[in-house]
Amino acid sequence: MVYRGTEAYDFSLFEPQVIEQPKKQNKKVAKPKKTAAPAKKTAQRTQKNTHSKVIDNYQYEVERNSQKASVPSAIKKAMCFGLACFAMMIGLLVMETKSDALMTEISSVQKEIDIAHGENVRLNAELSSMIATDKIEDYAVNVLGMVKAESYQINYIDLSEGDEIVVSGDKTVDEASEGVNKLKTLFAYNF
Amino acid sequence: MSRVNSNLKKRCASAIAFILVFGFGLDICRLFYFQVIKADEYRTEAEAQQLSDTVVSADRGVIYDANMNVLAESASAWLVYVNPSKIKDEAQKNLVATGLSKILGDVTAETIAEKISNKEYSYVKIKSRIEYNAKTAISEFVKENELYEVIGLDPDTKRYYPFGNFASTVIGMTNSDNNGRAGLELKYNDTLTGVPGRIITAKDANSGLMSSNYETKFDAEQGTSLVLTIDKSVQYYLEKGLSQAVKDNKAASAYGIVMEVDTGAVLAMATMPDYNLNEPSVLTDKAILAELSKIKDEDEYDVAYNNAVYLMWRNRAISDTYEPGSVFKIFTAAAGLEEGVVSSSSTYNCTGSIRVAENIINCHKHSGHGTQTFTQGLMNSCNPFFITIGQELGTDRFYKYFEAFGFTETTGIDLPAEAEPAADITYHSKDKMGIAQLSSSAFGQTFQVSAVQMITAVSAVANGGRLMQPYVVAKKLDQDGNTVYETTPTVKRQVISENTSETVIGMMEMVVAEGTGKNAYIPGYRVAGKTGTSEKLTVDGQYIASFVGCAPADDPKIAVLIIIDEPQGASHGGGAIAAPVAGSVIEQTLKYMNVEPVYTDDELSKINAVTPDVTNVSVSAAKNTLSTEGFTARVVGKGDKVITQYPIKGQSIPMGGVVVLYTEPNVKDTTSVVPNLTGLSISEANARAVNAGYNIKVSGAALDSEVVSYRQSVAEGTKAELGSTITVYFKTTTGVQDD
Repeated sequence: MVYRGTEAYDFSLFEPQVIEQPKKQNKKVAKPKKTAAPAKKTAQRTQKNTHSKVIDNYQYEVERNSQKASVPSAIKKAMCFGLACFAMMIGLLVMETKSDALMTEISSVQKEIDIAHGENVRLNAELSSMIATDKIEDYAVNVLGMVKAESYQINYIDLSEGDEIVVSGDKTVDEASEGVNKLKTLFAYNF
Repeated sequence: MSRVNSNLKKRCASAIAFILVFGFGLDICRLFYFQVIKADEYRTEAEAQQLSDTVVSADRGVIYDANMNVLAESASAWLVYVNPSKIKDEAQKNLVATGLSKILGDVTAETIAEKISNKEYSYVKIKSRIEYNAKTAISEFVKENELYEVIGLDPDTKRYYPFGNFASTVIGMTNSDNNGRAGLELKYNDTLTGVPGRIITAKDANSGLMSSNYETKFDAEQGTSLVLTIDKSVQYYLEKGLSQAVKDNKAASAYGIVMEVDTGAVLAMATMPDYNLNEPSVLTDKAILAELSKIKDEDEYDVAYNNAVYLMWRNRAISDTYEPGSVFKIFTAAAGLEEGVVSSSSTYNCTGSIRVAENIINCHKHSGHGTQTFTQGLMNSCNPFFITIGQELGTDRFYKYFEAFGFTETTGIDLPAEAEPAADITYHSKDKMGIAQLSSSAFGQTFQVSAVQMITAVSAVANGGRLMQPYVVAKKLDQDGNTVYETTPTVKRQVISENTSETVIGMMEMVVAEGTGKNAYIPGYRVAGKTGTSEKLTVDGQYIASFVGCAPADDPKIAVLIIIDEPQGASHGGGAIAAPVAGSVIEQTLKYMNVEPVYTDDELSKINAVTPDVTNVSVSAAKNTLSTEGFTARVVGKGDKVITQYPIKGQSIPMGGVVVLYTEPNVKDTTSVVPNLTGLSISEANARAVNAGYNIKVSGAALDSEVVSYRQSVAEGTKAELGSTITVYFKTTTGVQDD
């Protein structure tokens, strides 16, 4: 026999049988199920003791009432969950909109870079053509009257012997130590 | 009654069942047709409807010279098109035509109007590769006149060649599809071409693009860039020399190569006349244009024009073959020395001709050279001497060296359209080389080689006998500038020993110092070379003059080959017209490469002197100083004291040159008319210049007493500052004939 609700006169309560629990119960509500075995034993005992049956029913009613009291909190949780979902959805929408805007901006900047690069190449090409060797030479010779240096006018300096110079009086000066001395002099004047 | 009803019900049920089965069956069949048989077609259509697939073109790789100067680079551009089907009326058509013509400049309104007159078309290209300024102007024009559906702009790419004609036959160019059409652009098309990118976006019901969330982007990858062995400065020297040679000799063309002998790297390669890479289809040669203008038939004109353009694009240094003439004697000499057939001290008596089989072959000096050593034989370019050496070598040994120097194969240079040698067509095969063929081949006649084959073989003689594979691309770079490939010089084979190489170079040095190549002599540098002149087999009475040289002779670094095709002047010999060009290119290149000149005492005594400072002294004192130091004074003004002088102190002018002394602060006219300084000896030219108030700078074979001036840097009749220096170019025509 299935439990049917909250009728005032439920004769089944007085029948010697096990009270079945509602099929769908959450874990917390399932607590009475754990007590089903003792309840079964208690029901067997009710044949002997009606008083104890009433006590058991009372206990069951108390548990049921406590279940009823827990319903508003579940609704609250569900509502919270719903709200969170809604907020997330809104957040996602906002993010998507911003992402779209940023992507559009990136695309636009990329286009501008491409155009700037193209202009850079064009201007560099124009500049290179203006400073081509033949044009420079033509200008130097025909406008400025310049003449190319002859080979014998070019002095080649051999640095293979080391980075040293000889000043008048055959005094050999090491450039590094000379530099340090100059720095010392500079600091001596300033400080 | 009930029976009738029952039958009716059954029929109705059957009919309904039939209709249902037939209908659903038809649907299933149709579904099968769409989903299985036509699946691919409809999938494609659906994708086209639902997806927008835009190809993003990739930039082509950059081409750099050896010093990372940009020679070719791509950049974004646009293509303007018109949709004639959307043009409302004639007035709008005229508006579009005139508007676009005004912006584009080089497309006439009539041309545009004609192009867009057919209303059946929806896409008519007006001009590609337009730049940003034109694109912006077109956008504004479209906006002002609300021609959004009529005029459109598509992305495009433009290839820029900053130096126009520079190295045009080597670099080549691209076509309208951005693919290589000639030169390196063609040879390395796959390398230079990047990987196009794609943007795939979902479309909504109105064919509008949906948000970027539905977009997948594959970035375009720029092509690999090339770094060439071509050096901008050396290329400029070569182009300048060749251009002047074409002008001076009224030649059909001139071409040349400068090669690094140790590696086979091509430092410069040019063909003149050349063309502008930015306008490759525009003919600029006036002679060709004049010829074309004579053609009246339009079709015939188009064919002739196209042929002329293709000829202009031709890299003759790679694709043309020519009879090398006496230049080939270098290799006969090398083979003879290597095989011990002859030594540098061997002698031969040239009587002016030699009998070969049934024929008599003359020496270019009909009276004969008399008894001469092997070195003198090369200096005189004596034909009978080299015929004799060829005959002593015999066919087997001669052909062995002919093959070893690479004259029977392509060089493998990384440029397109290299001339392919063909046995018994461009050269004599071993089997068919009789005594006549052997004899003529020994002094460079009756066979043909390409310029690149010739300079590669000469480089082998100069570098100790190693035949190198010539190359133009030194490196390949990825889009971040990282080197992804570097060319390693390849030695093909050892052709001759180092001793033979040294001996031949020594003999070639004597050719330039005292022989037919003296117009390539450069004071301070040791140049080795050989001249060549050959009659063209295809055109009667026309010649090819050539000169090949390497320097410095004691440690060769570069080899230079100059070829002048069909010169029209009085001189057509390689020694007279090609050697001066080679000398100029070698001198400038060695200076550029910081090869220090070493002067002999004789050379030092003939070089210019430096002007002293004679300002702020009296005129008489200044005159005395100048006279003492070997200069001539020319006084301008009536003052007693020299206020300024020209040339100023420290300037180099020839001995006996003029120094103009200004004695008044504001002299009105300090210019004079430049006289004709050509056709004179050095002393005559100097005297004439000094009398007119100018100095000269001697260029060319300055140490030879028989030189004659043939060109001056400032044209006759031009007004120039008194005391300024005019470069006068000299060459000799005596003792340089070699044909």
